[in-house]
Amino acid sequence: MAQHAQTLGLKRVQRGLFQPGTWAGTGWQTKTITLANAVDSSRAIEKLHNRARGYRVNTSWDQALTHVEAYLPDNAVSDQLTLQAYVLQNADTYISWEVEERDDINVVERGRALLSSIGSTKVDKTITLATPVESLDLAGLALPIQADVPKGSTGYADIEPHLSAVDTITCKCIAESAGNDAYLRYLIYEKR
Amino acid sequence: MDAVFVYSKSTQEFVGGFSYDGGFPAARVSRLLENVAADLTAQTGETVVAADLTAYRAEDSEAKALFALPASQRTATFDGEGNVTSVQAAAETPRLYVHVDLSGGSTSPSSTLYLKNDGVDALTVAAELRDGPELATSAAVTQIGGQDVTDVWALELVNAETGVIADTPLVQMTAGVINVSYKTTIAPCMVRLDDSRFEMIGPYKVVLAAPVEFKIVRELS
Repeated sequence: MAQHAQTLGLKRVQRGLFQPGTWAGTGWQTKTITLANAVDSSRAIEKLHNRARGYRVNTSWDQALTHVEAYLPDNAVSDQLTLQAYVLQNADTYISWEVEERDDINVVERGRALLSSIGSTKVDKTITLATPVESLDLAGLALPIQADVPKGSTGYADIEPHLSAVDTITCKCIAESAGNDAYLRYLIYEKR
Repeated sequence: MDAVFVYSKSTQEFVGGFSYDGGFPAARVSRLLENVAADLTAQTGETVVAADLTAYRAEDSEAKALFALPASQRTATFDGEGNVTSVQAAAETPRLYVHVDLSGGSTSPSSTLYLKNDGVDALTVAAELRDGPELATSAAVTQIGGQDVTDVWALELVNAETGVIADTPLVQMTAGVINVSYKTTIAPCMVRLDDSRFEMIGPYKVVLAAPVEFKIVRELS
């Protein structure tokens, strides 16, 4: 039965919510999610869903985190999912996470790129991969949101799929205000 | 679903909550505490070991109900050694009620209160803070903690259809009483006073005794 499931591309998914309780001040901070089961990170995709950055402060909603990333270690069996967040306000927040373990992929590369001077109109940014890949699919894309900007800044990136061998990927980025640096956590896997 | 709530033994502060849709084995709680201790050590610069932490693991409906609460709305009970023995919803926040009486403007055939947005037409707003939702059975609240309830409030009027703020007039509350004349030139819409945006007064959540709605209208010249 297990063999049959494997040929179908079995997915095992762990998901949950994290409530940090308190952050140690503001700025970049790291928190660790202990997974219910260890995963092989060369077969696993980490995702954040509803980052739930907002929190309620008396009469209005305010923004607590500008940026949240989640990552598993490279090519290791691990029961830890690491979160990195840029904290603006030490507020009560939730972060929704998911780890999807699949039998039909090989994770080629996990990385984090600094994309300079993202503007308020969509621009192309190129990330050079450490490892060229034959076929490319992408997942676990973090939002490229600047880390040290005023509240209210948000942004996003799209990465275009490629059909042939590549050693670069292009992401299309946009931010709400001009001239900000952005961090992009990316994950590249090949389908087996 | 399982949830694990982690507290500091020494301060009894909540330091992190984790929920797992697919469950989290009780045997792995010690591993989770090690990870939380490592995070705290990295953040504070002071060594925190897993033994300094205590966890409460909840399952199914209890986990779901507790995890849905903001941390400030949960309380934990500890034994003599600092171990958390239970986590529960905090007692409901005590409430004060604002009783509002509107007069002036004009009334539509369907009894909707109209206010022209010409900056001249006015609604007389008389509001009073009371300790209950029923006027007949509640008492006026003029002081809290021996101090007059006197402050300027920014009252957020929202568009009743979109929920977007339509106007935010500043009003003076003196000893729990507001008496103002409201005039406006904002765009026509149905507006509602949104008590979910009210500031708390001391430990009290402030709510409206009854909904407050009226329609901003424009007169054709």
